[in-house]
Amino acid sequence: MLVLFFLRPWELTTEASFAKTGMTMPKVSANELYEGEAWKPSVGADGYALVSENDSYSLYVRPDTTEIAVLDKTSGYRWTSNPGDAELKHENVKGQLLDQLKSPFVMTHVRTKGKDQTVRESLSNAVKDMTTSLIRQGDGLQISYFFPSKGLGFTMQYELTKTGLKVRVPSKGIKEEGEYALFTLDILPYFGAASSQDDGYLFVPDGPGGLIRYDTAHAKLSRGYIHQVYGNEMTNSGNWTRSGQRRETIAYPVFGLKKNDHAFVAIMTEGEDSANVTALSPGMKSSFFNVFSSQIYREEYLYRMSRLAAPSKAVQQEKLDRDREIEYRFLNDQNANYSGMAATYREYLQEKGSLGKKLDPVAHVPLYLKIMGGNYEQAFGQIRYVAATTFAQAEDIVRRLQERGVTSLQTIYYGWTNQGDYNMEKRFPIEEALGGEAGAQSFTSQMKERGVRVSFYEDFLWIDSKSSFSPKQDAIRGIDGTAFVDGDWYVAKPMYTAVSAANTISKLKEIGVEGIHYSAIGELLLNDYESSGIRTRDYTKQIYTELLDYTRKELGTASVFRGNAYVLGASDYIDGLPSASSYDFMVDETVPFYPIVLHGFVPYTFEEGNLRDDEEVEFLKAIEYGALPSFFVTHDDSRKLKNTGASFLYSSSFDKWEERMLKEYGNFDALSSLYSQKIILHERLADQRYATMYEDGTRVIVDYSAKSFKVEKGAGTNE
Amino acid sequence: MKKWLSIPLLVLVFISLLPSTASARLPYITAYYDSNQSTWFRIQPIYSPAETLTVELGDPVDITVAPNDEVYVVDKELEQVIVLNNDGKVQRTIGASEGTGKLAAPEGVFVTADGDVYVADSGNQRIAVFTSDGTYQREYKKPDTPLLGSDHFVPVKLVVDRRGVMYIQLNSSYQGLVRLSPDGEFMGHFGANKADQSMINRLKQLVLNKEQLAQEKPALPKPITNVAMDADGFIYTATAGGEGKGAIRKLNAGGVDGFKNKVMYNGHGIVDVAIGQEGFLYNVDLDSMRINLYDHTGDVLFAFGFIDKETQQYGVIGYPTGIAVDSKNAVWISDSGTNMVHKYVRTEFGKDVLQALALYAGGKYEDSKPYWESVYARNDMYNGSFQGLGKVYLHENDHADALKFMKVAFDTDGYSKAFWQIRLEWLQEHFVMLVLGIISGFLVLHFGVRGLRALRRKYPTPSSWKQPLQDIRNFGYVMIHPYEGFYRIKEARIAPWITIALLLSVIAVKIARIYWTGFLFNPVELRNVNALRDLAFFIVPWVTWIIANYLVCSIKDGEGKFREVVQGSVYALSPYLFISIPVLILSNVASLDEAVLVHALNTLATLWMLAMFFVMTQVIHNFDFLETFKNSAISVFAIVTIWVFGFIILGLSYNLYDFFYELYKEVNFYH
Repeated sequence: MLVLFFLRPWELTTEASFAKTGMTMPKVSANELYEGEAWKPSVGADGYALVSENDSYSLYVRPDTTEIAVLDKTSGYRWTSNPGDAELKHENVKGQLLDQLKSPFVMTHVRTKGKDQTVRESLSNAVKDMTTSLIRQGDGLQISYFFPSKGLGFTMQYELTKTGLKVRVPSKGIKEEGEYALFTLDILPYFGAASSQDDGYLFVPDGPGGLIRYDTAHAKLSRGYIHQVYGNEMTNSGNWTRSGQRRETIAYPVFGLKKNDHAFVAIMTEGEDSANVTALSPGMKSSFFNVFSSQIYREEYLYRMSRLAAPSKAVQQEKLDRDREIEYRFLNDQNANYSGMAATYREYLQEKGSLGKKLDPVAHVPLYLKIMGGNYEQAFGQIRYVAATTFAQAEDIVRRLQERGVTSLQTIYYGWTNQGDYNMEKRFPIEEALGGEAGAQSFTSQMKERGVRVSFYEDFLWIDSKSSFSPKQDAIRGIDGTAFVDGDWYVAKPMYTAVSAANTISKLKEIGVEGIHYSAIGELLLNDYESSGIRTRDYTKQIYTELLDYTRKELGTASVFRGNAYVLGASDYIDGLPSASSYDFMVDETVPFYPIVLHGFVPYTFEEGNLRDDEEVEFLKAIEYGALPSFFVTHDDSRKLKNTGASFLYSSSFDKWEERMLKEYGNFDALSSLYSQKIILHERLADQRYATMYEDGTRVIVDYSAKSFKVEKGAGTNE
Repeated sequence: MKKWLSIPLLVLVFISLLPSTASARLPYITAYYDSNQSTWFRIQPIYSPAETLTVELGDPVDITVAPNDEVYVVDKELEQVIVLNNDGKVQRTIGASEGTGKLAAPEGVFVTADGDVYVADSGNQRIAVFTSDGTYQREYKKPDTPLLGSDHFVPVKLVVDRRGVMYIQLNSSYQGLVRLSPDGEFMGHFGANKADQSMINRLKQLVLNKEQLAQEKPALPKPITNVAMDADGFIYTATAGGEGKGAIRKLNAGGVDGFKNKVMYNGHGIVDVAIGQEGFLYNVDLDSMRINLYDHTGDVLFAFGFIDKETQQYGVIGYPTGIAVDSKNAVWISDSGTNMVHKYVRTEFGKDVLQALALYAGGKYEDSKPYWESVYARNDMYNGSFQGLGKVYLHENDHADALKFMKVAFDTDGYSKAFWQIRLEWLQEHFVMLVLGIISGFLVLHFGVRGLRALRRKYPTPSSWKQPLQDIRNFGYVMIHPYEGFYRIKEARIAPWITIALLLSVIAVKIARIYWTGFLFNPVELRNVNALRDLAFFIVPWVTWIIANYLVCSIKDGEGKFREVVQGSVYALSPYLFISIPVLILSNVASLDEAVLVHALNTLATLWMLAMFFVMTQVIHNFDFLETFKNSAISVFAIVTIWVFGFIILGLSYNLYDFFYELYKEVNFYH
């Protein structure tokens, strides 16, 4: 009996339930290495040999150093992996740093035996005993490196494409045969490096987009912009900082460089989630500005033998076995800027089919109306649900808005789960204080009649320890191999998330809900360090996109909070997109790179109109960056929620905000013709004045000093 | 909805559990201190980091803002004073050129109203004076006085008053500020901190003899960390290390501290203090890792910014060395961690809330109204606006609204004033009714009792009721005639249900007092009250008393049986029951002006109860007075002993439980 109770054979395993939903299991794919005869290149006068060429580009390699160069045939500009001798004349770094400056890679490794297993050492192409072997296959070139004294080796593949150059480090090419292990690998760290005499900037994916200008000094303050795509591994306490990393995590795997009239944009196309974007300015490691991706294979982490012992440092054993691929695309003249980079990235996403269809034009822009039902508090010694907006009241709010001219509305209802966030796993029956299942049903049918789409908000990642949930089985494991727990909160394994979401969806479908608004899955991506082998972020990404697709199929729409690049093709709306940078010492200017990519394809909103830190400035920013209006309202005064998890709603009473909402909606709606258009150019006209230009030539000019904006209608027509 | 909880990966000292909002986030959290609830709550930013400033400095160690809003930064490494304009651009430097005016490792600067620049030229052991354009004027060396001894004269911070008198902090001097006249004459020490009198020290003074005391390290006052001056000439000293006690002192010309050495929140690691034109104090504090804003009385209002030596973000300070506030209320901080200057400017919300607070502090309630309303429109949860608007309504004679708002803000003073007015109005309107009501009440009572008596005479109660009724009546009787009463109880064999019923009614009264005491006398959020805990605090001492009393007295030849002790102890509670009823009523109709009535009644109840317990012990155990006294004292001692043992056992078993629980979790959850 007892055995039965523990094994619970009548319950399906998470895997079985997942299979039942019809979602497909994540696939692991790996690129093959080139095989064949070693290539014996014939070297030209400059030491370079032609590898291959197409209509637009030719690829060269210097067999002695393995430096590469790409000639852009249209402009005649030659991109090199490393600064040339002329550029290095004034360089003042010496030794290892100089070696790295001349190398197409920097490999960092650690020991796996003996003492000091966390000490990092670097290798470059200047290492004496390094051997290289070159193989040419089709348009591509493969260079395999091996360092006999360390027993380490890896392979790089270069391929020309119609738009530029692909660089790949296949996992199959990595050799760890000695007492050393690969830690990180910087790929083409000085590709296109610029000096402070050049005109231009580095582009880094900080918030909506950040520029590092060549005419500004950063060295004294900053250690460089070094951040992991989609945020670092939260389960590694070695990654925590005192300030708690209050910054925007990288949401899209792109970086770029503009040098005078030429620019490249680099898209990290594989293994991007396990890589840092690194941007450095003169004085940090060289006298150049450079930006590149540093691939992470292992991480140092802190582990505790016991609760009382001080944590010690260790390096993870198993490496992150993923192919790494970066695609460089080149831009010239009027396209050589961040608008051009964004357009190129958008084209890439479209080619790959991960951006979705273009939006249809609308007569009126939608107002994204979030409604907080309520949440629980502890009162009179027990858990009590505090209702701030019942379903009936929510209906009333929508009715009032429609009567006063807000014709297009999308609602997202929060806090509907049984007892709010208390016991995250117990979602049904829908909270009685709000009207229960019946109330929800009548709300959704009313909304359907009114032509208003209803999504329910829910978090399927974070699970509190009040839930009947087995952390041992279903919680993400941290880098130290134990179930990760932050305070009382666990993070569910991706498959568990998918299953509990699917269960919820089937119930919400009966009630008439038309979409799920997901928290967390668009912003939080982790490796799962299972003892049977690491499930990488790639696995997690695939399940999350599967889930979004499933949601769309079952309910109609799926939307997310924030919105890392992997959800773009499967989301109907992104909420809370970052509109400001992280105040990083390195970043000199914030630009709307991500909004340029998204506009016309995925609707997005910034901070809700009633929760902004600075109402006017953030409103103007939304206009400038092409965001849509959103508000987060309650029927009652939000003060009721002060002691609940919803205490971030400083002021949300609909009565207080109604007029402001109508006014703001009017302002946004005046731009409704731009809803389905791409942004083609964004520029700074003067200090505090910015212009955003759309496909049909319409320009929106925002003036922050005058706190106003104006629209110049374009001559062109919408396509 | 963990979304908003996903950030607190680190111990953000006081806000670890508070959620963080969505986008447009600053690199730090802003919080306000709610003095009623004694906790910090999140609020939208009141200051945000200004546009990027990229001044290259060597080692900025002090900062001050001149009356024309130029910012003077002392650079110890570059050995000069760097003057920035209000946008943070370098205007000129002072003391860099060779000659008599050359500075050596300077550490402090002050700019007078006339624009003269006084520099604590620590390396040259002097005060160097420059005009605002940087021309060297004169110097002040160590004054010729035996009072400064043979120590080196190493000035580190200073202020200069209107007459040109300098107040100088010497390197790690605990004697206070050195006062120098404009002629360079020593005018004595000023504003030394008080020596710390810890409990240990006092104990030592009691116990140790003279020789031993002489060997002890003397408790020296803490050296002043930094010094600032406001427009009225008050001198503010910052002192770190005292758990906030005297962290900021406001000294008048006589050296008297207007803050009375009060404890400043977030002041333990204070680096520097600055005073804004509206009277707000600003401190930057290494302990709380925050910039803190205080009102003119030194009560903390807000905390913003952050200190992190690994900082990579504007708004997060590496290692602060000084703080200054300009006429536009921008906060400037010199940071020797990143060798830069941080500037924070007020947000729109910050402007409103601080303007409102400033006007409120100045008593200009009417003027503060629009600002409060604007704050209230954007934040329902900030208690300050309820207090502020409450005060406004009070002034506008809108007592009903004032009452509502003051209650939300837990402002008992304001509430009491509004309540007094409302009560007055009510009395004026309903006076006749009230009098009639009282009279009719008396009549009903009078004739009712008579009627009841008549009824009882007509239909006498069965004789089996007689004893129980007598016992119940005794509950009141014992209050007035304790000796006689307790004798009756001792002799009578009181039915257990009566004892229990009486005890339950006392508990009922206790619960009534928890929930129905008027707001003014119990200003707490009722839903946060843990009634069980409150009851436990009432019942546990009473139960331990019974046990202790019985045990002690049976050893000491007391006559009382256990049942009698229980009975007696229940009856001894009668004053609590009877006095609580008027207290309950009074607490709901009295304002704070009549608070003394309620407090007196409460004290009376307590004393009366104690007397009852005493008499009970004497009567039940048949002791004489002295014996009773002795045994009561022993009982109290026994109670304490029981509790101590209880705590130890509880603690140990909790540890054991915790051990097994952790083991269970470790095995079950993680591996």
